[in-house]
Amino acid sequence: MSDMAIWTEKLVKTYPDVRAVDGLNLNVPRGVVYGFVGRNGAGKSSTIRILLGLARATEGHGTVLGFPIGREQVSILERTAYVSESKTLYGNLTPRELVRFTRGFYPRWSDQAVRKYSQLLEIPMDRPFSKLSQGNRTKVCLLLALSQAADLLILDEPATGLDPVVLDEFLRILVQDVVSEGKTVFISSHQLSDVEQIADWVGLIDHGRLLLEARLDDIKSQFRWVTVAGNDLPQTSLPEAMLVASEGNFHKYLVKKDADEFAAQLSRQGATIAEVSPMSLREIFLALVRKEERCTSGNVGEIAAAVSSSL
Amino acid sequence: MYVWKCWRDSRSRFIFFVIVISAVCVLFTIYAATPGGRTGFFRVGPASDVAYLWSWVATTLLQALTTIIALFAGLVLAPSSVGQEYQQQTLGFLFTRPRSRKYLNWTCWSVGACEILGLIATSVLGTFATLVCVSRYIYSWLLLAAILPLFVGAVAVYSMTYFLTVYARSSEKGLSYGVGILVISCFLPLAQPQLNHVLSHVWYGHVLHLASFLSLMWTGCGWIIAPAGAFPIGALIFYALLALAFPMLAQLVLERREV
Amino acid sequence: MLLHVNPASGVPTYLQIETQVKHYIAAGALTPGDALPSVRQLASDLRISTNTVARAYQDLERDGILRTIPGGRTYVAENPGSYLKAERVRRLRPYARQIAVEGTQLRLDPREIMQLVQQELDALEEDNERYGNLDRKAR
Repeated sequence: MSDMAIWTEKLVKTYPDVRAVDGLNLNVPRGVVYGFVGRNGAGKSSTIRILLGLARATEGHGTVLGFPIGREQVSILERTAYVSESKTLYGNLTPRELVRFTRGFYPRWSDQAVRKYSQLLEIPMDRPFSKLSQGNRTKVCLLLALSQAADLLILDEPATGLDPVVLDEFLRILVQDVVSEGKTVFISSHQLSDVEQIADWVGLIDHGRLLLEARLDDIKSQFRWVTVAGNDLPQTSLPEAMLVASEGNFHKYLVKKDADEFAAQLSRQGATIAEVSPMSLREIFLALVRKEERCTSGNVGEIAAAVSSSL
Repeated sequence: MYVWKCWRDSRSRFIFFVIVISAVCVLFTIYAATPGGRTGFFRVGPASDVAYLWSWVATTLLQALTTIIALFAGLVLAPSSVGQEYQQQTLGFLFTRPRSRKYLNWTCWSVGACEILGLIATSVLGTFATLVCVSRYIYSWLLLAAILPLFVGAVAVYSMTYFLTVYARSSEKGLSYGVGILVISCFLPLAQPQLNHVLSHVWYGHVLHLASFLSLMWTGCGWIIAPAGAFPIGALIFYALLALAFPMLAQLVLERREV
Repeated sequence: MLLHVNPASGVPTYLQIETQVKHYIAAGALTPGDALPSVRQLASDLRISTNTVARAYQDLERDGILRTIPGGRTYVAENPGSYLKAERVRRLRPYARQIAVEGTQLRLDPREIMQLVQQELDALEEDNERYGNLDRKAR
């Protein structure tokens, strides 16, 4: 667990009216880009706040960069750069003054990085923060995070207000200067297309627990839509298949792995395989998170159970 | 770096109070230096009676005016940096810097306490300068010792307001509560004779007297200007402890709070 | 070398890179000895994670298609097919099986499937000739 960048075990966070985090077991390896995705209210922000020491976990424990959360929080914060969702900094200070304020906290701060990135990201360095547009505010937050020379970057919605050009530039900087140095990037975002582009790993959180945590490449090579035509619903005992839609004769399954075997099984039972097609991250996300028809073959795979229990 | 930021947040208010105190001293010098008998609120004897002059200027300026200004400063400076963090919602940023909340709490408090010290020193030195200007004679260096009771009293007010700002998560609320408590506390000694009568326990009276923030500053300065009886050392210690207890409480609150 | 990846497609990015590199080599656009961009450079250009590119390069190297000199650049291997014929046939068999399965599922008959494969082979050869001509002209 100490070789993980972020590791949690049975993390729970309860508020008076809701269980925001409900037994979360995160495993973020070092040196990867980890995309933390989920709906609003799924528990992403609560998790991040716990990792950073802004909130305390009700149950469970974890480590960040090998240091236990809570007990050695300052050690974690020395090595972690954070860009919050709200991106609020001191309104009366200019970016230049904010840099001056922030650099004192970090011995490994790089002034050269500040000069380079402030130019690349086109940041107006002498305008008070309160007078900056949302996009510029995001850029300032990103600048502070990049110049810190942190081992771990935790970015909560890093693309807010960024135009496509700046976002592209930021992704390039992230790849070239952060990921290639072996640092870890933990991105929490709704922008699935950005996550899909740059992430190595994906963790999908829903109602406070992980529905999925795997390499993005593996997810993509294994998740498939299988569309079949058949008169009566074919019976299958594969736990990784979930019926997602039915229309007349046609049935659409979401298959988590071994799609070919599943298709072969169905065709042996007389169904016609119309198509076995790959899925984008967005489709996987929507299918796993949305409440769809349960698989009538009575599968009790974790996914199917989650879906049926929420109906 | 956080020191710089706390200073920057309260800088304008600090400078404002320095100007106010200096202006009061200057105006007072002008008034006191005007020849002829003085009438009105402050009656004083012939200007050639140095001791009398000293007493009058010091009492009015130091004990009354600058004490009150220092108290106000204590009230106003406290919410400035802590309250701003809450108002601007930048606590999420601040608390994710690699410093313990204990450090941040005490740094913020200390900057304000130093500013209070600066203001008190300004007012005492200003008064001293006024006296020298008016009487052209240094009557007593002991006057400079007035820094101690004034500082402790003002810092106590500051600490209280600081804690209230942290607790209420707001500059305005902190300030309002501080003003409220201060005003009530000033009038508490009025009840002393009645309560003494009712309770017939002398120490209740002492407690009530203590509960007034002004009491330390008032009697402390009074003793320095015209030593009589015992120096209120008990009150001094009490308020010094209070001045340290409030930020400790604030630290506990901040450490437990979720952002 | 200009590659293109589509992160939103269902095909994993590292596979897209591998396929394109193999295609370029097969078409003659990349010849043995040509240098490939560094992992960092390619990742940065494509705005994808270096781990993805590294994986693609590693897979290609394991298959004998690329060669990395220690601490240096990656090159197209001199003899991309320096395995025994039997080994090469063994490596191709899964793909052949896949074509057979997919073709059957799509209800194509064996003759149509073979025709398809032949068409692809012909197209590759055309590309090869075309790039070969360009190459000669460039020199």
